[in-house]
Amino acid sequence: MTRAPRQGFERGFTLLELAVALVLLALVIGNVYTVLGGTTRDVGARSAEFEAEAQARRALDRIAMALVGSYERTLFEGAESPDSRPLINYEEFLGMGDPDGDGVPQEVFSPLMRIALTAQSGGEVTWYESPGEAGERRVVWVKDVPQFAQGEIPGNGVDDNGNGLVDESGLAFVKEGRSVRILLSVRRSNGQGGWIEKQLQTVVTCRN
Amino acid sequence: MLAALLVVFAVSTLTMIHIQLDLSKAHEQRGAVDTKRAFYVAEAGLAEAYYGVVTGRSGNVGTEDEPARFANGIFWTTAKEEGLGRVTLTSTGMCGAGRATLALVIERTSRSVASLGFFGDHWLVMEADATVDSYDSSEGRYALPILPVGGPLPDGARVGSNQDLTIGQGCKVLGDARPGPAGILVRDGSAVVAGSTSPYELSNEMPPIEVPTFENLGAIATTLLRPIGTIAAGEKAYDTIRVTTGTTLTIKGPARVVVSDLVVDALGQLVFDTTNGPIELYVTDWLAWLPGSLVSTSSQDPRSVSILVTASVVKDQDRNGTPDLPVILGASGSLHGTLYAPQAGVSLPSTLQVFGAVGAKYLLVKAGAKLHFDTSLLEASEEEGALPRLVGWRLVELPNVPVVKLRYDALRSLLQQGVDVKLGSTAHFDIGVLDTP
Repeated sequence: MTRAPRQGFERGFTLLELAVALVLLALVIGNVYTVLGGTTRDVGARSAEFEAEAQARRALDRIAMALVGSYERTLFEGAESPDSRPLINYEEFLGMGDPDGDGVPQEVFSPLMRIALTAQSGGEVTWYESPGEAGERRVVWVKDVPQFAQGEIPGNGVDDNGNGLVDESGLAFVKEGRSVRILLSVRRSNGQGGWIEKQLQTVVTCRN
Repeated sequence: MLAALLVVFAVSTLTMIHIQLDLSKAHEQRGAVDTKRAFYVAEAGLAEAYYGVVTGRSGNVGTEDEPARFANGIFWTTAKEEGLGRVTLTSTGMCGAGRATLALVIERTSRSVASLGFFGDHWLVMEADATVDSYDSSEGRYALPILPVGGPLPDGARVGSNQDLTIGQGCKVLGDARPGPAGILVRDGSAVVAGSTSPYELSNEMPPIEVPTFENLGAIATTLLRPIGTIAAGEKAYDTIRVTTGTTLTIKGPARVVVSDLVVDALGQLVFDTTNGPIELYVTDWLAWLPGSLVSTSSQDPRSVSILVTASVVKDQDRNGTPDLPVILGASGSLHGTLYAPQAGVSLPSTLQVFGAVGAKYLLVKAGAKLHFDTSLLEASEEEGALPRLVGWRLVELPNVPVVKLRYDALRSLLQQGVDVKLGSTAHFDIGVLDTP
């Protein structure tokens, strides 16, 4: 038995309708892809910027915490503005102890410590304990620190970025009385051929 | 339809990812902010504890079980005595998820001249075999120091000058011997100095003496007919006080006595009775404890007897044709107290043991003299009102206590439990006693 041919309103799409639908679908998918792609790139860029700033902030806080407990009189290699130094030496107060065993508590100080910008691996901020001595210890606190601060043209003797300092490095210490101004720049790739640069600064007053 | 659903699903997923990323960034930023807030709450705790020490409290504020409140954080501070007037204050602050512990060492220092020990403004000379050691009257009577063989010597004594310092043959200074900023220390090869010999960075001030004014009662003298004399407690002034041979004069505290000439003849005895209170003795013209006289004090506390001498002129006081020094200390016995003569030279004989401190324009420690610096004079008295000196500040590790390990806001948790968290100003307590409002 054969079916009777269908009567009425059901029929297939014409070639023209299919072509129009495909074009429209392509347009929609293209726009969605563009939006999705743009959003993804934007998210990635924001994440990278946030990571760079968070990394710089963490490093700056770590440096500040190291210096806040140091003795102001031990802070040498820190220059007064407009010159700055890429390293700082300091000693910390470690509390009361009895190092000579005579039963009389005395003040105990840390060995000499240093925070410095090195040129290794594109620029690292390194912490040292007893630098230059046999028992020297070192820890890298942050990488991707440029040799010169954001906006500075090296070696021209001019304050290019208008922050009051001349030719400051990516890590700069400026002694301001009992306080130390710390400037830290971080520069890392954004994965798309460009760079993300962040510069943060803080002022620390020595408590000792 | 299916394509639309897929598109919506993809966009939703991306949106959720975006939101999650933002939330994690916010969480990290909040954590960093909370850590800084906790740091400042801990500093507030140190400030509160410091204020407690200044006002005579122990420095303990709150406990880990009953912390004090500051702004939207909590803290508690503990105080630990380190000796020699030093206290370590340790404050733990918590705010949100942040935690920080800071420590501060302060020193209750005295700014008085007595804290300098045996001090000569222009010079100090120790003749042969003189010794200066130290003890702490707040811990008991003086006892001969034990000198360990091969070990570190006790070094609590203080000898100094604003200029030159000379230590003679065989002398022992069981402590510091410090000349002035531009002075020099001359030390015999056989002399022993156990402490610092570095010069003072700044000259020490020798403040003038403000002599009070009281009703003048004239001249008094003990006699053989009335060999026992007493100056009762109170505020008095005399032209002359003379303790003659074979008699005894007792000054009873609390007393403030101003006298022009105070003379104790040979075999006369002067007693400072501080049983009921301290004695301040001002001598404006001549202080003469002649050789063979006897001096004694009833108390071991050097702050109980203060002898302040404004006399400065060398003149023939007794009209025998020989000029007399403004201060003559030839007595025997022991003096628990402080002597201050900023305008006169003082010579300390070997017959008079001094337990306390002496400051003078020139100070000569005679051969064989034995002097004992009381280290309790290093601590500021309530009257001095000196602020404790900062010795050092540092970050320390968080204490290993349950409240620190909480992962949530401790203040909010305590308030939700109905706990009344006190402000720092009302949370001070001394050891073993919690402050009650």
